[in-house]
Amino acid sequence: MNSFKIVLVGQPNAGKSTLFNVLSDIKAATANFAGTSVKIIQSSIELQGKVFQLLDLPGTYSLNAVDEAEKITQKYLLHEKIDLIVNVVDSTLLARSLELTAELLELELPLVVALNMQDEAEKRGLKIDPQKLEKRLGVPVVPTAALYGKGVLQLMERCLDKLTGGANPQPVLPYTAHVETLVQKLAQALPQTGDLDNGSRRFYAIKAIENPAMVPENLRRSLSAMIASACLEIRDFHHRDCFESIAYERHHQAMKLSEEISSFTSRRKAQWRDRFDRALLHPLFGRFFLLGYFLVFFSTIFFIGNLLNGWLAFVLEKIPPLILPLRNYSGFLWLTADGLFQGLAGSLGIVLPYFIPLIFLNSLFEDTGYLSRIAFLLDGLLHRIGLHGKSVAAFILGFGCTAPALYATRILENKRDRLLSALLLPFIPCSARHAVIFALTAALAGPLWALIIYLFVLLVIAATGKLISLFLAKPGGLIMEIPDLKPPSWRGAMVKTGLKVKEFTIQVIPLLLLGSMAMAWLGYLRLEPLINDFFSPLLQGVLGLPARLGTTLVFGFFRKELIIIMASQALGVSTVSLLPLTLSQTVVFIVFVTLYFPCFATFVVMWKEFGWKTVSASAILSVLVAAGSAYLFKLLFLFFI
Amino acid sequence: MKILSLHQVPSGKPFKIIEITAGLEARKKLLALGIHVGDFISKINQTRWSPVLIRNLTTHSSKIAIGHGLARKIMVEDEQL
Repeated sequence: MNSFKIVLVGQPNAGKSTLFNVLSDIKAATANFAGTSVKIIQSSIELQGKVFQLLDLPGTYSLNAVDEAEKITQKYLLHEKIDLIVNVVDSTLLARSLELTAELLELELPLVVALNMQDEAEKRGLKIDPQKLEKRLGVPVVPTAALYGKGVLQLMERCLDKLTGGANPQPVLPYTAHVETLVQKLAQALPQTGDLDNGSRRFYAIKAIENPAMVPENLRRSLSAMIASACLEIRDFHHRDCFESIAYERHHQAMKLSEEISSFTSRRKAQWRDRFDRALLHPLFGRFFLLGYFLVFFSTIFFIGNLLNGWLAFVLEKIPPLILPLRNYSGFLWLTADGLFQGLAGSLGIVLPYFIPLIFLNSLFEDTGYLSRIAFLLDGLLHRIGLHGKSVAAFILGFGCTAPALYATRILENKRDRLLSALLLPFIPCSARHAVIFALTAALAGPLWALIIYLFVLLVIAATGKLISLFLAKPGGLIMEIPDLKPPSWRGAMVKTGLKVKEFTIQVIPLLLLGSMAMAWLGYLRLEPLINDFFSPLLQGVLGLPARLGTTLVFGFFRKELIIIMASQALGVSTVSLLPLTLSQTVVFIVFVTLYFPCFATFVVMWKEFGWKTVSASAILSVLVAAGSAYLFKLLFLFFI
Repeated sequence: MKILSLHQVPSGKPFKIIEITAGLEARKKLLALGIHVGDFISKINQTRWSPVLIRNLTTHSSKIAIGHGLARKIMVEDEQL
């Protein structure tokens, strides 16, 4: 084994993902919303001929995890083999960040501190002395500005030194005399660290007082009398919970440390950013701005998408005549080639045009911190449907893709909020469904209908949320950090969009091509009618849609993009604008497919994260909601329009 | 010196946290975000339709949004810095 494992650990928004991106080729999604990296992301890097496994762990405020994302980090730090921890510290929040550093030191694993965003802290009038911090902590401290790649090389060099330099005894930050005595007494009573994965005896002694749930049960049981008496003593002496006593001790350690190593100078930070932020969070102006933001966001996608769509269609329509000669040669070959072309035309001509502006705008605003402002402003509204503002992050991500949005629910502290968010998320139109909505309305109904459908979908989500929450306990209270605003980075957004488009081209487009070829083969083998007959009672009987759209629903389960790609194939026309659908049929069809069923990826992620009961509930719920909503639109058209 | 809940006090003035009467989970989360008994905080704004927005003056934290229910359980006193 010559590859070392290095993990990045830090509080949410400390710049871990940015540092990770600089250090590796893989780009993890970063966003200025506390808790955006909710999965462990891994990459191999090479430095001076040595290979490192670099891991970006979800942000955590402390090792006493309160939400699912934090639990992942806690579990990893305690149970996996780790060669080195890089603690990413947000210098602008020095005192609070050092609390986690103090806790990580207690693990007694090799540690290097990356003092990130030191430049930003200085602008705000906080001058930090890294050498002093290094002396006080007894571990390497390297100032970095991950955003500009500054200090990153030095950081890696110090990591290498630490890894190859042999084990130095790790220093500890002592607690106040009374607590320290109790901790040492407990630590001595604990058995040798053989069966403890990571973490020293001292670490488990502290946790036995602070958070007994983290201590393995056999240890806890053997020492239960001692732990109980230590807790009683602390409670009598400090007049506080055991948990709080330790937390306050650590807080004072960190405060003292930060006062020793930093000094206040004059602020050089632009005041306008503060003033602008106050406006964004203003109850009235902030909401107007938000409404404008959403309108601009979606109309930009709609119009840029249509523009690109038009240009590409112009190019793509030159292809069919080229493959027509195949028809005389072999029917099967021609159908296959035609299926391939339909898939290509759909992916490049319909899906990508809407995908690109959506991803670009999302990337542009993700890092600014506006997402948490949206969460703040919409909290009241979300309370009405039984959720709170923190779910907003997941919902906004859901406008891109439902699967990562399901992971994002990990930042919610309680199960109930996670479950409700997970059930509602599949209703949020994802990038594939934006393409369905935008392409169909642009071709057959007009932009106003797109707006009506979006508003209706939001209404459906609200109503469903309200309905489900009647059966659940009341939502928990909100506590959420609102990170400082950062200006959007055009370059960063461009790079991120490029990567996402590349990923989409490599991973998704082949599936779309395969899907539309499969559709052609189904037609060739005359199997289509079987599927269509199965759906026709609902599609034709209830909703009044052509039964031949049935097949698209099956393929749509695998990739929702296939619905729009295949619609013209199924109905035997060359482009979307020639689809033989009336206005009412178009709208009913869009409403139905927007809501009808979680896609395959959503299905898998939901199963993994929430279990089969939730997936089944979600599937049944969406079929009912979709059929109901589409029928409602059919009736509306029948009687009013 | 009067003890009030965070929910009742006006925005823009410093107050010292005296007691937090919320449940353990909420107290854990507040501690994790750097809100402690004894800290000076100031409210940025509060309306019916959005959470209470505060800033910790002692630790120079970023802004923290707190639900109304919880804000009623954070007791503060009016004491000049």
